[in-house]
Amino acid sequence: MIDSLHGILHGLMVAGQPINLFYTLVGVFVGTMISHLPGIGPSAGIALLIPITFGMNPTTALIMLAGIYYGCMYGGAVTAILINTPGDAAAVMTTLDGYPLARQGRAGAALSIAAMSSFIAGTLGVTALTFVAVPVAQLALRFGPAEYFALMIFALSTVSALTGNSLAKGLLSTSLGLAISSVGLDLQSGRARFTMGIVDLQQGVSFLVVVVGVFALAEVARMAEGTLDGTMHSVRVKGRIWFTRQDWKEAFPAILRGWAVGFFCGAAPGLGGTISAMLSYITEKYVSKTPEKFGKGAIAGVAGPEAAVNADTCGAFVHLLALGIPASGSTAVIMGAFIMYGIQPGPLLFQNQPDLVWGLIASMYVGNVMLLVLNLPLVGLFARVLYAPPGVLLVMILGIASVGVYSFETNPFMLYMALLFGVVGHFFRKLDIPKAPLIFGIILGGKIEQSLRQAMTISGGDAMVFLKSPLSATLLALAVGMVALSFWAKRKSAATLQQAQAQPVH
Amino acid sequence: MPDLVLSVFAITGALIYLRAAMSLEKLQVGDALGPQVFPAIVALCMLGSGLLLAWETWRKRMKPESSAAPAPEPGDRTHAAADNRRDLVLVAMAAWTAIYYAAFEPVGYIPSTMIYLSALLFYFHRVNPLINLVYAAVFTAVAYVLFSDFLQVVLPSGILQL
Repeated sequence: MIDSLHGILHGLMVAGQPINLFYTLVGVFVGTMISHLPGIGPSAGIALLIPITFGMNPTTALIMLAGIYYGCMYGGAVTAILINTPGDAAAVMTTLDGYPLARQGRAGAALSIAAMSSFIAGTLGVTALTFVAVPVAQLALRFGPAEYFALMIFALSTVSALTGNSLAKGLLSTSLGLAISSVGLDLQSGRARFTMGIVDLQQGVSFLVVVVGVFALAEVARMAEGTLDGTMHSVRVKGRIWFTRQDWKEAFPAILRGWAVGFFCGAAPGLGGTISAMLSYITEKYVSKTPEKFGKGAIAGVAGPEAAVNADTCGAFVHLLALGIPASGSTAVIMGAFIMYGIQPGPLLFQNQPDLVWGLIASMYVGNVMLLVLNLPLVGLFARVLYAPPGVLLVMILGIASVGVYSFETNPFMLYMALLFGVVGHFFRKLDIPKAPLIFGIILGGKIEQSLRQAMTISGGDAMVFLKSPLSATLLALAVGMVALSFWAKRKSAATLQQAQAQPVH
Repeated sequence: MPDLVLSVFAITGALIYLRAAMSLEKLQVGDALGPQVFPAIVALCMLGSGLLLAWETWRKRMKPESSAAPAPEPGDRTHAAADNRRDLVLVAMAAWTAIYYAAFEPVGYIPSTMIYLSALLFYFHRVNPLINLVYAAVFTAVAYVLFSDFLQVVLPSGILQL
């Protein structure tokens, strides 16, 4: 507790430096703008902007990238409310009541409640992150290779089992990510694996190339389809951006419940913002005295999920910073950025890089205030991004992605690889294969293999080492249970729930 | 049908990857597993997911509501034509991007990017061509200054060097 207080006070001094304040503002501003582009989620936004942070101080760069992430989650509600299209997947539940409210002429109330919910849940979430991260990191310091291996397998099985609409596709995506991570020089034997004689592959497949291809270039293909189909339409925001006293009375308890649901979902690997928003929405409908209002414009239906999504981002940072394991696709991309800067997230981060980790956490407090200021009075101004011609946007994204990838190693081979992964990402979308498990596999593949080999070497080749440790055995049992549960359970996607909610309540 | 094809691809890919993993040299000095065990486990996971996908697809087909093919509707042909056109545009876009990447170093960043972006803008943003040329020029210049001057990245000069 005292350690955390000292840490956060130190972090506030780091985050309060003018350069870090400036890049926090840039991050949350860019994140908000990105969230207003339907379909371009936080993963694609962060991937596109990683190259721009090269050469920066890693603390400043990561503060900016984290700002983009929670800025995106904050602003995802705007497109959900105004055009019934979530700015990111997690905002899908906000469309259910946000859009009906907008159609009733209450867009201002919905937008301001969404902003206030995001601010309160985000601030409470960062506070929880401040005090939970250190004990979790201290616990993780006791982990040996077997426990780490089991924890990473648990994270992979959760993300495979719970992301997307098919267990098989989730597992396939994870396996492909793990296979990609095995390309390059084997660090223990020094031998090249699966490089097909290509020298450029000896260092492995660049993470940046994969995320730019799979997220950004594949999104360009989606935008191109939308432009050709004429399905990318925009609307204008009208009216006063504020809520009534009655709205606040309905929203406040929903915000607190949404925060609790979101933070715990975020702290569990693989659940992600979409699931926390769904759980929050279901909870709000269940506890409401007027459940018939849900789907027709219930304020709690906007406040709860929005709070959950923003608290989820803070919960996800507990995992990332204290354990070195991402909790969602976006945090996997941020973790990739950490690794690219030569920083290994995990329990030792709090000891070895206190400036970075506490500066990053403290910048989230500052960023949340900035977001509230940006999102309440300026939401109408930001919504103008929606009116940008999609044809121009997609071309500009292609331009940024290309020069960004080239700048990484000034090697044209990287460009071809990004294009290849863009095609892969396009087929992933067409075939409804989730992308997050692929990124998890790529990020964690090397560490999983290393832990597996270390554990086996220490035990003299005895595979029972994973079952002898109670923690490792429990985590592996949970991983198997998660996959088995997903195998037997009937999946309901957010889209299905959205359709179901759209039906009249009898 | 696409899921069945995907499962066949997954199973084939897994078998190829497994074979490649098994043909890796065994080097176990100070290492209980060597470089081939982890890829082999991943290949088996991929194989399992391919088989599971085939089973999921088969189970979906066996469901009574999905067994009957929907009757063709009058608009289906128009939709199919639009889909074909869209796919063609995406293939052309990918090919054009590959040409741009091939020209990136020999032609240089500025000329290749100007031509690449202008052509795309002419197709996707059908307004006055001069406006599109201005967009392409402004983007190229801003990106060049940002990466070359601000981020100290050496972007290829290509033909402008001559």
